Order: sequence, then C-alpha cells, then structure tokens
Amino acid sequence: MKFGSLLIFLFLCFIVSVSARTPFPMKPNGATYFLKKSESPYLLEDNFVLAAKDTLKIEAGVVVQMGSLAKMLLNGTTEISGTSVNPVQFIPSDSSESWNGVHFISTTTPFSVKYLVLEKAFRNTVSHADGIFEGTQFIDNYYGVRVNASPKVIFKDCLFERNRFALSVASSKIEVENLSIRRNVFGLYLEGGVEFIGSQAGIVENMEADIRHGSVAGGKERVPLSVWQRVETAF
Amino acid sequence: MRFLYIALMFFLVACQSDKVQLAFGTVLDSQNYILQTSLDVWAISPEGDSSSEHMRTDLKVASTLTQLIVYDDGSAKYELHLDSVEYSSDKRSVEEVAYMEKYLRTQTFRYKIRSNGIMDTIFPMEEYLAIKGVNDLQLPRLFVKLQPVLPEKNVSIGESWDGAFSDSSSGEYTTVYKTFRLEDVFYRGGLQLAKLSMGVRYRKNEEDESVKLESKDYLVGKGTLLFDMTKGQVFSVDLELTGDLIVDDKLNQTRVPNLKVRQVLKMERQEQE
Repeated sequence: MKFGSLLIFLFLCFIVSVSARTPFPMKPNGATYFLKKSESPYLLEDNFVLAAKDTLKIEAGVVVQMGSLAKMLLNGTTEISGTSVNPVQFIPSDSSESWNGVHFISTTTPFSVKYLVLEKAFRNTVSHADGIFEGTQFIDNYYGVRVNASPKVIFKDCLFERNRFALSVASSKIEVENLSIRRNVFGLYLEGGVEFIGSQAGIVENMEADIRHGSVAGGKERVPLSVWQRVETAF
Repeated sequence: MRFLYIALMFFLVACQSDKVQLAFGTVLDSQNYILQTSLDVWAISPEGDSSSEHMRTDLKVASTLTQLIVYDDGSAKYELHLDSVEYSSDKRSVEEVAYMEKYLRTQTFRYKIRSNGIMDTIFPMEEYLAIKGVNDLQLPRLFVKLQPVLPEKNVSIGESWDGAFSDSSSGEYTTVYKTFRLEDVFYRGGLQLAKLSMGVRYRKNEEDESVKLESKDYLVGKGTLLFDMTKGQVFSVDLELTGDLIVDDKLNQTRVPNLKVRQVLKMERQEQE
C-alpha cells in the first residue's frame, strides 16, 4: 500500500512538472513584458508581436518553448539578458519539430541580445534594425539569421553551428568579434551592399562553403534565386 | 394612338424585364472554395534563344469564406481561412516549400467588401506582418485579382461596366482596373448563374532595398466569371494574366530587362453536401 501511494505521488509530481509551463503573456499595446526565470519555462504556440511601443525584457535562465507555428515579431525595445552560465533559450517544445523564428524588424531602439540560444527555427531575421548579439548561439536552424537593410548589427562571441544557411547579410553593416561559424552546410553569405568589419578567421569547416558572395554563386544563372522569389511574391 | 402608347409601355416593360440584378447575398453563410494558380516567368536572354531561364510555381488552396456581418449599406465583412495548402516551386528548396505550406496554412484574413464587390480593407489576423526582405507569398493579392465588381444598376445581356480598386496587400497601393460584360444568364443545377467576361489591367511598380520591379506596360488579364445569382456569391472564376517586367537587382547591381510573366488563376465554389 505504501509503495502504491508512493507511485501515485510520483505520478502526480510528474504530471505537475510536465504541465508546469507558463503561457507566453499577451498584453495590450504599450505594455512591458518581463519574463522571469521563476516562471520559466514559457510556452509560445502562435504569433507574438512586440509592438513599437512595447518592451520585452527576459532575464537570465529563462526558457521559451516554441510550438511549431510560433513566431516572434519584435518591433519594440528588446533586452534579452542571459549570461554564459544561465543563457536564455528559445527552443522547440517538441524536439522533433521546428518553429518559425524570431524577427527583429524596425526596432524602435537598438536591440540587445546577450547569451541567447536560438535552436531549431526555420528562419531568424534582422531587418531595418540595429543592435547587438553577444554570446548568442544559433544552433540547428534552417536560416541561422539573415540580416537585411540594417544600419549596424554587432555579433560578439557568437556561434553558428549545424544551420543550413548560417549567416546571410544583404545591404547592411555588420561588425563581428570572435565570430565562430562552423559545421554548418553554408557559412557566411554576403549578398551585396554589405560592409563587413572584423575577422572572418572563425568561419571554417562548413560543409559546402565557408563564405559566398553575390547571387547563388558559381552557377550559370543570370537571375539570382532571390530575384525569382521576389517576382513570385509580387503576384 | 392609344395602341401605340400601350405597345410602347409593353416594350419598355419587356426591356426592363430583360435586365438582371447582380448583388452579393446578405444571408450570413460560409462557402468553401478551391483556388489554383500557376505562375510561369521567363527571363528572356538578349538573343531570345533557348538559354532563357524559367520559373514555375503552383499553388492550390482549399479555403473557407465566412460572411461575418452584413451592414445596412449592403457591405459585408468576411473571414477567409485556409483549410489545406499544396505548393511547389522550382526556385525553392524542399525545406522552403514545406515552410511555405506551413506558413500559408496559418494565415487567416478578414476583409470588408462593399455591396458592389469592391474590397475595402484587408485585416490580416493575428497582426500578421509581411516581413520586409523575406519572400513570402501574399495570398490576398490572388483574391483581389479574382474578386468581381458588380454593376450598381440592373444590366442586360451584352451590357458592360467597369470598376477600379486599390490593392494594398503588399503595403504599396496599386490600382487594379477591371471591366465586365454580362454574356449570359442561365440555370444549372437549380441555380441561376450569370456568365461574365472579365478584363483586368494594372501596372506593377514595387521597390524595396533589394529589388525594383516594374511592368513595361499594363499587365493584362482576361477571364470568365460565373456569378450565382440565387445565393449572391461567386460560383467560379478563371483568369489568365500576362505581361512583361523589368527588374533591377539592387544587391548585385544588375538589371534583368526582359521577364515575361504568365499567371493562370482558377477558383471554384465547392458545393456543400
């Protein structure tokens, strides 16, 4: 009987631990979101839009689990404050599934992302925004991050690993310090109009190419893929 | 003289009775539509020879269109939800195609249509934002092309009318001009259907940091639309759109001077059991 009670107790503990995920908060515009470690893990199942007047602050050690349709659109002030010991993690809720990704778009103030682990997203982007990624790890994403039309994005002590396309940059200025892009399929892709400041010595051991320039390099095609896709979306 | 007057009145009444009224239904309802599109684009080489490059994409979506509210002036608010998506493109990887299908399946739109069919506003649900610099498909554009503009007065067979409305689904305004002609009115399966010929023309002029894209002249489309007069709904529509584009690839500082475009769109209402 005692053993049976213990089993029931353990089972209840298991149920509580499995279901103890805090729904990602949703608030009216102009709000401040503060994600705390004590309420972690959070679960985001759908879209989250941080409006221009909103602020998102995430403290060290927070884990956000992403459903397969999860997407974060960050327009407002963003401060992700992980540490090397207690990083912030954006990971899929089901390890066999990917999620959409994080998009920094026209942020009202420069974003600050420190010690974030971004794992298994389809695509992360920075567009018309500036800010810093420090100690951030882009792991096993399809597009690690694509930076487009951004005045200045800094990558300091960042790691890209097991992504298909690690880092793509177009019409932007990026500064790198101690950048490591290793064991991806494609490493760095400089699409055009890029000012790249810093060392490229850490871009090695990528399977297909470490650094590519211009359109889908090497082919006989006159029209780059990005142009074909842009024309498609115009119709 | 009296006989002439009676004959004239009879003639006028007879003429009036030939006219039909085309109007959207005002009974709240849901309909299922299948939309299929194919897009072929050729980059014609300067020599015009077989070295031309080509892109082909196909999209098939099953959608549910729900009329949410009908206003006193006859306008109505609709919600469009996608039930299934099949997509293919020879210019995207397997993973991108899978992503695109997943992304489209999550899209839901609300829009308002005036009593004559002009689409006023598209409200993407869930604050969906087109991500600049990311080439995702814009579904509302497809529906804008197929949406009819109905005449404000009763019309008879052979009569034409036109309308224009703005497509702002990309964030930039494009005026889409449409012309219609009532070709026939007939019964099929217990429904009274009006057959309309439809012409579409508009200029394409879009620009972002990566690409400037403009049409050399109007993009021109021709098609046929069956309008269900019984329910006041589109029954089916097909449209073929052609035109030439010039694209400036700003990233690589090159120009693609001669892109030929052909888009075929078909949409049909699925009859509910």
